[in-house]
Amino acid sequence: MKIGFSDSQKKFRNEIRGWLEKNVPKIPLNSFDTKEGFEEHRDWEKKLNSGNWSMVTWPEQYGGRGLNLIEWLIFEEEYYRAKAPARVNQNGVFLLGPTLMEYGSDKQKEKFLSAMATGEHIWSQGWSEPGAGSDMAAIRTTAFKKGDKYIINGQKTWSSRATFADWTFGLFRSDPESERHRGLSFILVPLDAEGVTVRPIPQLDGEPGFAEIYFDDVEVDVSNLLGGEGEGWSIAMATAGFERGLMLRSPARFQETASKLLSLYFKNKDNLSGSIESKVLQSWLRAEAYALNIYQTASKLMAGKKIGPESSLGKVFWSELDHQMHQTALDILGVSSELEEVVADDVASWIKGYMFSYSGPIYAGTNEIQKNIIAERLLGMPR
Amino acid sequence: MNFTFSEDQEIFRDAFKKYLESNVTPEKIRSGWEDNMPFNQARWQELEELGILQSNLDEKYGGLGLDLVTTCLLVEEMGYYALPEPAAEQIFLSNLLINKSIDIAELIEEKNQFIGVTHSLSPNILFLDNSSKIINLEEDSISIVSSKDINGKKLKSSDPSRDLTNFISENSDSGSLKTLNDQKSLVNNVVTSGMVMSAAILVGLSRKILDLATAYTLDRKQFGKPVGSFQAVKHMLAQAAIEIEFSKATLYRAAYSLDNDNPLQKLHAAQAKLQAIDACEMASRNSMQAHGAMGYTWEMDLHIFIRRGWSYKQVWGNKSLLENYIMNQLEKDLPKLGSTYTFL
Repeated sequence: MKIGFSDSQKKFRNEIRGWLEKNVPKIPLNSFDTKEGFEEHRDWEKKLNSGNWSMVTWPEQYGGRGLNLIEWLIFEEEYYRAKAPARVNQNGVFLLGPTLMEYGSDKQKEKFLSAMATGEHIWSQGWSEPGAGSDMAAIRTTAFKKGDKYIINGQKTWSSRATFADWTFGLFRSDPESERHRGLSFILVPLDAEGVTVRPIPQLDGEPGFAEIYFDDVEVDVSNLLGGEGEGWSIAMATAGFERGLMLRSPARFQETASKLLSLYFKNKDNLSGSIESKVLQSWLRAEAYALNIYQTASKLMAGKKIGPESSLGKVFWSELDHQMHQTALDILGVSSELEEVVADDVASWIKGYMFSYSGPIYAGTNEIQKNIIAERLLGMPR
Repeated sequence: MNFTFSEDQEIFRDAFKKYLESNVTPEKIRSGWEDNMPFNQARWQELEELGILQSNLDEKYGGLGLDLVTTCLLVEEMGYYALPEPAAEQIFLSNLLINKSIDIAELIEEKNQFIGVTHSLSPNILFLDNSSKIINLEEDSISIVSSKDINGKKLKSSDPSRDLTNFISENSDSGSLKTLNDQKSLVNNVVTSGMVMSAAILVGLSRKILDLATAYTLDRKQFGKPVGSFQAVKHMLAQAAIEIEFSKATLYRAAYSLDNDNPLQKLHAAQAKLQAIDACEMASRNSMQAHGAMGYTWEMDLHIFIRRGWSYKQVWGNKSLLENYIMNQLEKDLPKLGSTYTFL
C-alpha cells in the first residue's frame, strides 16, 4: 500500500489546472437543458477537445489521453475545483464511446468517435419505456429488419438530453418472437430521422432535461446496429458497468458540495442549531469516505481485480449523501432558500441542486433495486 | 497511488483468521464468561507464538516490526471474532509506546506480558490481574505503575469479556515506577492510535454482526419462506452493508497515516472512528431487528458481538469528542481540506 500521488500525477494535476484556469468561462453558461445553453455547452465540448481534454480516458489511438482511473480522479478534482461547465455529452463520451470501442466496427468508430469528441454529435440515452423502467427487460419498442434497414416503432421515455440532442442509443426488440432480455438489439438512431417525434418533458426545475421519443416507422440503416443482432442486452450491461458508472460519479462532485456546505455553515453558524451542525459534519465525513472508497476501488481495478455488484453499494451511498447535503444547505438558508435568483450565498444553485438530488436515488437503477442487488448478490439472501 | 494490500498482508491476515475461527468461538468466549475469567492465558501464549502480540514491536525488542496497516487488518479480525484478550491494545497502545520511547522500553522487561494503558479516554484498567504494569497517560506526562500497586475496585462491564478495574489516580504518584514529563506529542500519538484501534475493532464487529443476520434470515422461515427473502429485511441488511463498506477505506487510510506520521493523522483517525461507529450502530440495530425476538436473548450469540461494540464506540474517542475535534479542524483549515487535498 502506498497512498499518495506520484510526481508525474502531480505534474498532470498542474497541467490540467493551468489549462482550466485559462479556459473555463468566467461567467457560468446557461443550463444545458435550454436551447441556448445546450449550444453554449456544445461549444465548450469543442473547446475542451481543442486542448485534447474532452475524452481524456479514451485510448490514445482514438484521440484520447489514455488516462488511468487515478489520473481520471485527479482530472475530475481539478474540473470541479475550476467550476468548469457540466458535460452535455456525457452520455456519448463516457457511456457510448467506450461501448463503441469495444463492440463497434471500424466504420462505426470512424463515423462516431471523433464527432462525439468534438461535440458535433451530442448523444441521448434511450433505455426506459413507459412499461419498462426498473424492469428494463420489458422493452417493447421494435426494430424489425427489412432489407438493409431496421424499421423502428414504439416509444422511449425519460431519455436524458434528447430534447436538443442529435442522436440516441438504446435497446430495441429486433426479434418479434422474443421475450425479456433475449432478442434485443443495441441500435444508434439519428433524432432528425423521418418519423421521430421528440416531446420534451419538463423536469422538477421546469427545464426539459429529458424527453419522450416516439418512433413511427423510422427507417435506420443496418449499419447503425452495434454488435450482433439480439446481443443488445449484454452490450447494454457493459455500458452500465462499474468503470463507466464511476466516470459519471467521481467523488470530486460530492466533496466540492460538502466544502461549499461547510463554508455556508461557518458563515451562518451563530444562528444555527446543533442538528444542522451534525448534518454538515456528516456530509463532509461521508463525502471523504466516498472518495477514499473510490480511490481504493480504482486501485483494485488497476491491479486487475474485477468489480461487480459492489458498485450498487456506492450508488445508494452517494445519492443519499447528495440529497442530504442539499437538504441541509436549504435548512441553513431558511426563508431565502426558495429564491431561484442570483443572490447572496449562491442560493439559486442550492435549490437547483436540491431538485436534482431527488433524481439520484431514482436514476441508473433505483436505490431499492440496488439494495435488492446488494442483498441477493453480495449478502447471498434468497430471491 | 496504490491503495491495495500486498499479498503478504493478506496472507498474514488470512492465516490469523484461520486461527481465530477455530480458537475464538462463541462457546469458548461463553466459557470464559462463566468462569469469570475472560482472559485465557493459554490463548495469550498462542497469540505470542503466532507473532501477533509482537507484530509491530521493533525488531530490536524481538518483534516483527510490521507496519500498522498490516496490524490494523489483524485487529479488524480480532473484532470480527470478538477476541476477549487485549491483543489489539497491546499492539496499538503499549507496543507503540515501547517503540517510541526508550525510557518506557527500558522499564518493560517482559514485553510479551500484557501492559495496560489508561488515559481519560479509556480510564478503567483492562485486565489488571493479567498485566504486569500499567502505563497511565496524562495530558503531557506518562507514568508507569506496577500493577501490584493499584488499589482499584473491580467494575462490572456490560461486556463480560471486559474485566475492568478503576484507577485510583490520587495514589498513582506513590506507586509509580517512573514519571516522564513533556510527553505531549507521544500521548497524542497514542490517543490517535487508540482511535484507529477501536475503529478497526468496530469494523470487524460490524461485519460479523451482519454475517450473523444474513445467515439467520436464510435459515428462519415464516409464511413458508426464509424471512431473508422479504424486501423489508433485505433492505435493512443492505443498508448495513453499505455503511460497513464505506467505513473500510477511511480506516485503512487512517492506519496508513498513523504509520507514516502524516500531519493529519489525528483527523484521519477521528474520521475512521466516526465512520466505524456509524457502521456498527446500523449493523447492530438492523441485525438485531432481523433476528426478531431471538436476537434479544442471551442464548443467541449475536449479543456477544453487539455489546463489544457498545464499549469500543465509547473508549478512545466517542462520537461527541470526535465530532468536536473534526469540526474545529475544519473551521481552522477548510481551504486545505477540499477534494484536491484528499491525499497530500
